[in-house]
Amino acid sequence: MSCSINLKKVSYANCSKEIFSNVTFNVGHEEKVAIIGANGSGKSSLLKIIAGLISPSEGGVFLFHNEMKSLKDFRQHRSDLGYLPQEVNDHFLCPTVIEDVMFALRANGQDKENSYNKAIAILDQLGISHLENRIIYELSGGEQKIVALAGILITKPKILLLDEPTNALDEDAENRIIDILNSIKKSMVIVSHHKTFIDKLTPTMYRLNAEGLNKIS
Amino acid sequence: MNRFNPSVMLICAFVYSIFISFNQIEVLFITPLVFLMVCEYKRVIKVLKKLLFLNFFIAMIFVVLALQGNMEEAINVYIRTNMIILFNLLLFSSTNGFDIVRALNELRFPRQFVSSVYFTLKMIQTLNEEFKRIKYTLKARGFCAGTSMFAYETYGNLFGHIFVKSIRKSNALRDSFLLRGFHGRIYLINNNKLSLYDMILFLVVNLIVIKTVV
Repeated sequence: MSCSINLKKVSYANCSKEIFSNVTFNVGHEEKVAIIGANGSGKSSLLKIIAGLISPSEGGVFLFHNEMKSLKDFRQHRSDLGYLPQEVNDHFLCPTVIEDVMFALRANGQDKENSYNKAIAILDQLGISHLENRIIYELSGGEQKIVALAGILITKPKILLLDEPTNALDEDAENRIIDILNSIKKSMVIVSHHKTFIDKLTPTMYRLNAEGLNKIS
Repeated sequence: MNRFNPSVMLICAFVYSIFISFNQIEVLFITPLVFLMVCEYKRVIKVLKKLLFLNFFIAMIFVVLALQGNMEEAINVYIRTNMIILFNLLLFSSTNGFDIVRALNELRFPRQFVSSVYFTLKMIQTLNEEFKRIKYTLKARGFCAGTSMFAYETYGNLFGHIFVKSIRKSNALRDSFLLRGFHGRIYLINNNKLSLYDMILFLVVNLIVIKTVV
């Protein structure tokens, strides 16, 4: 199986305090991998390292077998990576749902009509077409997560990096997210501390702690 | 849903404010206010309450000018300021801040300027929510505002908290720019059409312009 992500002996320190060290793992093509761990174990930081937002203090990050030596190297793979932050509000760059979902396409130079049609299609696919003209900040947490996911999926990234995708959601919203994620055939790294949620998504689970990443299932 | 087109609102607000500021006040200048009050009759009381609150600040200017012996000028400034604020409140109080961004975009303001205004508004909204959250927390945790050292320390901590939060939010926004391919421009869909209300408002405001110029 070809690998989408390889991490080799990655360590991360914040303000000279080591958060984790020696993290080595691979994510295959269309493989779903979950990372769990205690609060402050560095799950979100690990995801940010893979997304090219922060640099590891040691070790190598490889995307599609290319080593990312610095954050600049991630530029050519930006469109391959879809990152959903824990605070989903930070993701939004436009006022209404439709404008935000089509943002990435327009920023990549696609014309308005084409971007609009694709955005409508993805909203329809995720079952939120009724939210098209709503102001994002007036939506519920669950709706915001799905809108953010739509904004990511529209660019057809090869890898999805999801930081606590069901954080603070009710059961219905959580089930909806699970259904959506199960229907997506892409490489995925999901960070969460909801084990029941992870169990419904993937059997491949790692636990992150200061000593590294251990496969637990 | 707004009754008026954001671009028309912005142009009218600008024109009305300028003409009220620099011209001798006439009865005709009240016409746009009356028209807006009729249009927004459901919110008039709410708007007047806001205006009353803002009058505490306007009254300060009035008092300062009056104490300097410029009673006529004080009254003049007081009336003009109230008219401008009332007009703007009637126009904008029911809109969300993003309508202004939409108007700037429609009026072909520079892209970077439109984006900057949008992200400034977004940051204000985020910090406002954060402030509300802190206020609730203080209530829930039994904090009583006072003049003790502890109260001042708490206020200091809160400002520090908001400051740190705003830096974190800025960093998160920068990450989002990077991840989503932001190049200094936000893309908005302009599907605001001109309604009869827009045309009447535009006409009424422009009557003042015509009357003053001619």
